[in-house]
Amino acid sequence: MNLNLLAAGIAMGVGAIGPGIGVGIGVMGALNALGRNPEAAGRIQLLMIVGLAFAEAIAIYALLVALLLLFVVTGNNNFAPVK
Amino acid sequence: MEEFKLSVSLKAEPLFCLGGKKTSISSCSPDTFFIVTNSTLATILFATIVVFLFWFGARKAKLIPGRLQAFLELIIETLYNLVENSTSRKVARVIFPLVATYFIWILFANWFSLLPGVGSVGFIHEVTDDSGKKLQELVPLFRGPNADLNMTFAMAILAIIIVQVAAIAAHGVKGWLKEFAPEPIWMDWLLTPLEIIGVFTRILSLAFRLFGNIFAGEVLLAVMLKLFAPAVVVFYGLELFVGFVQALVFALLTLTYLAMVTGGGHNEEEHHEDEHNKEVVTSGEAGQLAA
Repeated sequence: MNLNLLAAGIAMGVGAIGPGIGVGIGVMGALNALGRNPEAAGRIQLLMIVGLAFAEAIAIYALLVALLLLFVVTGNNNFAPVK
Repeated sequence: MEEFKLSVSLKAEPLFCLGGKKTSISSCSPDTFFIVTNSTLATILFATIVVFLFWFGARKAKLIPGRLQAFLELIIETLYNLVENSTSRKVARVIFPLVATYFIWILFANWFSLLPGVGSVGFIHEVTDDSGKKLQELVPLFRGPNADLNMTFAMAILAIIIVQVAAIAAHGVKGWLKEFAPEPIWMDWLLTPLEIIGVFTRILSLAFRLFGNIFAGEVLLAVMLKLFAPAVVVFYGLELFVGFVQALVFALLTLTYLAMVTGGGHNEEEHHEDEHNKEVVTSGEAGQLAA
């Protein structure tokens, strides 16, 4: 059993829980604000996108760790040998 | 039929090692003084295209624009309104070129890296994996500029350096240093190191956010091709969207940092009222004049 592959799976899996919840909360806040003040739709949309980018970045860090484990760490046999 | 290896490389593969030789598929011998990677090549090509596009569109600027000029004007005007709504008119004139360049360059770089041929046309090398099997590996000729950490790190470092310079230009060196010592002064033994680390965190987050999104998108497309080819269409659309959003986010974050550092939060509200009132008045007048 190759622990690197297992670690990659766990890294991405667990690392997506937090950002998933964060994105949901962010969009909920944006929709609430939109419901109260439909005129500010443009500004709210923009700020929501920025907030989502911050939350999404954490998931990307987890993805990067997973990709590092898969493609850069040696010893992953036939999946992606590094020479 | 030869067997192909799914070739995913975190580093950009070098095409020419000037001064040395290629030792393996992704590294050069230590005496090379300049490495030309496939990402470098793509950066030069795409940057030339973007610069040429905008130069050509602005060359003979007519009062009633032709199609290319109208399209470019649409982009520029939308961006300028965005910048002006976040900062005052005076500051917007200064920082607009930087924010607009970041957005346009990252957008075109991300979208060009989805063109057929980028990342899929290149040279074939033969490698042997651990069990002795001979596989063919592809070294692409072009690779998306933002899929290389060097590019995104350079842009992030430059952005944050410009933010600090803007802070010094707006408030002087003393004002800039005061930013690192926020309000409860007796807490500054903790807050000042945190603020300093915060500057480097911004660089890292900007760089890795863009790199992670674009590189993971490339890996996703490659893996989906290998697993289940028709699904690539859906992920292609996702990559187009992600490329746009990441360009927008990078430019918007640079804009936000600059606005925070030049305007100060409590001034923004008043400026916002003024800008909104001005816009309403002028569009009303323009409507009456046109009618």
